[in-house]
Amino acid sequence: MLKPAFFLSFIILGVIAFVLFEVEYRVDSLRAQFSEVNHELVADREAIHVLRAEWSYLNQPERLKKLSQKYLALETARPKQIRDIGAIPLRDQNLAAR
Amino acid sequence: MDIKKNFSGIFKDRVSTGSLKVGSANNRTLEIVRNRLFFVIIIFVLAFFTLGIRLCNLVFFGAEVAENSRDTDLASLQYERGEIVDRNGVLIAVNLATGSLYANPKQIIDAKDAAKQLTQTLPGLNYGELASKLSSRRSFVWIKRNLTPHEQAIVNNLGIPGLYFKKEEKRVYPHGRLFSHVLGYVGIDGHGQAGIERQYDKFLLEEDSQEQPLKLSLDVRVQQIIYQALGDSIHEFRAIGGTALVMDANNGEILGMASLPDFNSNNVGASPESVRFNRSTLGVYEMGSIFKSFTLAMALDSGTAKMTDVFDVTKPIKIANFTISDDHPQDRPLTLPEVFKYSSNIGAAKIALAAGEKLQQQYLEKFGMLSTLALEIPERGRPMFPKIWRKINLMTIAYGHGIAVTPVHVATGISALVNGGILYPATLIKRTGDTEVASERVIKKSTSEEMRKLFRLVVESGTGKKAEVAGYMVGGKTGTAEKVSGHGYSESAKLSSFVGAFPINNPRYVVFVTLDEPKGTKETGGYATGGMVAAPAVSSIVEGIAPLLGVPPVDYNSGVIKSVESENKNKDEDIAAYDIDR
Repeated sequence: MLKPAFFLSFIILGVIAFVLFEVEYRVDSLRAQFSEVNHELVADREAIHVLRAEWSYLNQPERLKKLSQKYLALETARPKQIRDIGAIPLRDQNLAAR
Repeated sequence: MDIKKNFSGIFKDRVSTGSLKVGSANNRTLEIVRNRLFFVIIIFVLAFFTLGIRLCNLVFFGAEVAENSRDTDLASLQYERGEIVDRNGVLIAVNLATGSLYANPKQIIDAKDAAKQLTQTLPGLNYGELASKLSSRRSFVWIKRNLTPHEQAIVNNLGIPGLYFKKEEKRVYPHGRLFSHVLGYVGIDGHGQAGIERQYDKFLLEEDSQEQPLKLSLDVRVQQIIYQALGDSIHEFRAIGGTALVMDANNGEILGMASLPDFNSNNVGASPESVRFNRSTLGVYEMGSIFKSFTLAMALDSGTAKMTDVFDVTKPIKIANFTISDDHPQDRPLTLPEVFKYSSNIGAAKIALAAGEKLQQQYLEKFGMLSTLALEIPERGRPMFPKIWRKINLMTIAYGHGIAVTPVHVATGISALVNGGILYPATLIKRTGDTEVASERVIKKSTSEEMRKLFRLVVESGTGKKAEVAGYMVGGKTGTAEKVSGHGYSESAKLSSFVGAFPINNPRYVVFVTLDEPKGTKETGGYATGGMVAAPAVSSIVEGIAPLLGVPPVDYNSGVIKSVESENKNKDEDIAAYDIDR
């Protein structure tokens, strides 16, 4: 009567120990992963921070103006190039119907 | 103690069975053996018990111990100082992580070689100085502060033992000189020393500012345009300095503000102390004829003069030892709009005389010309005006002499004159929709309309023709003030300025340019007046910023605009009516 109960509890103990260790190890590896990802995140954020500053630096209007003059044929918009939407005549109704 | 009983029990049994054979003579020996054995067993049990506890501890809590040693808090990146952005979110001030190189000379094997290698790779290091530093007996010497990541990599690659980096932060202004006076700069201790950086030092050091950057009313593009235009003008007319600013006429936001000469915010130490002076906000100047705008607004608003009034300006006014004469003398009586158009000092003085000292003080107070500038930077100028307001002061102040204010004062006041009569306090911080602006009506709507016509007249056919930009209907006023030198005014040293608003039929922005001691050129016929040197700068600023800021061009001849105009009480025709040249 005593012996089966002893064996049963021994087996249960073994199973519990196994499961416990298994979970413990999984948590451990997840923790390591979390820490790693976190470090990457910090590094990436730091990089983004620096890149934003660089982006602002590269977008200095004076620099863009020089580049635009060198590579593009764009000029400042002249007043006569800008029209109110109401000033554009509507399409001919007869033409539109066709 | 249970254990002891059990164990000793077992031994007792065995010993007692054995004792039958061995006899009682050995009982004492057995007793000793039993005690020794018991002692050893206790030690082992305790040892294993300790090991077991340690094992459990490691298994169940070991990971947490390890975790605490690593920073596994959710990633957060904290910088010492918050960011500053322009009205469109463009970064204009930011803290970047840098490394500062230091050495422990005790760990350096070959100081001379290390010094040689370092001077070859890093600019700005002196070999002799460095070699003596590295061979000193101290255990800590700075080599170079704030290295870029690239420089850090190079130093690491040298592989010299005894060199270390200390993580530090550096305030970086990606746009360099563009915002020098507005932003100010940060000292080596990380505290703001001037401008916005100083005014908002506390806020920028708070953690909140990490999430929500400080948003200024300035626009990087507008700033660049005014900076360029001002720089070009100063160069062309060999001025010793100047200011330029653009203000939203309908809420007081400053979109661009420049003061030259300036400095590079990233390297303040490289510029002399004198260039740190902010002419736009701290410098107070006699603005000259621009003040006629305030004089006329006062007269028209209070009813002491009407648009149709005529003034005799043919003879200079002599008062005490002083003579008031005109720069553009006309040998006939002038109507009030003509006084403005030809910028007659005599006319303005007479208009002021009719109004009186009290009224002039009242109105100038209302326009903000008598109180210290209210703006979000520490460099705020206090206007200079006479303590006792005599008749002579009344007359000279009418045309802008004997009172000195900052350029921001002028822009704020002129905005109120053209926007329908409401004074909005100037600001460098972007206004959000839900913040109530403490605005105040200073002149009637009808007076503002009359002022707009007068401003347009000056650009259309008066002293400010060079400010016109076809399509954007600029209106404004020139100002040429002789600078005070010694005991009197100097003929040659002038402060020439132009204040403009566009489009004048429904003003959106006010542009103000001043040039300090400009010299005339061949093109200007030797003149260095506001209309000759500052008006063209305003024109080029308007031309640049109007399309950027989405100001629709006004087609003067378009039928659409004319019908709008006629609803607006025939503004064009009214203007024409005052223009005697037509």
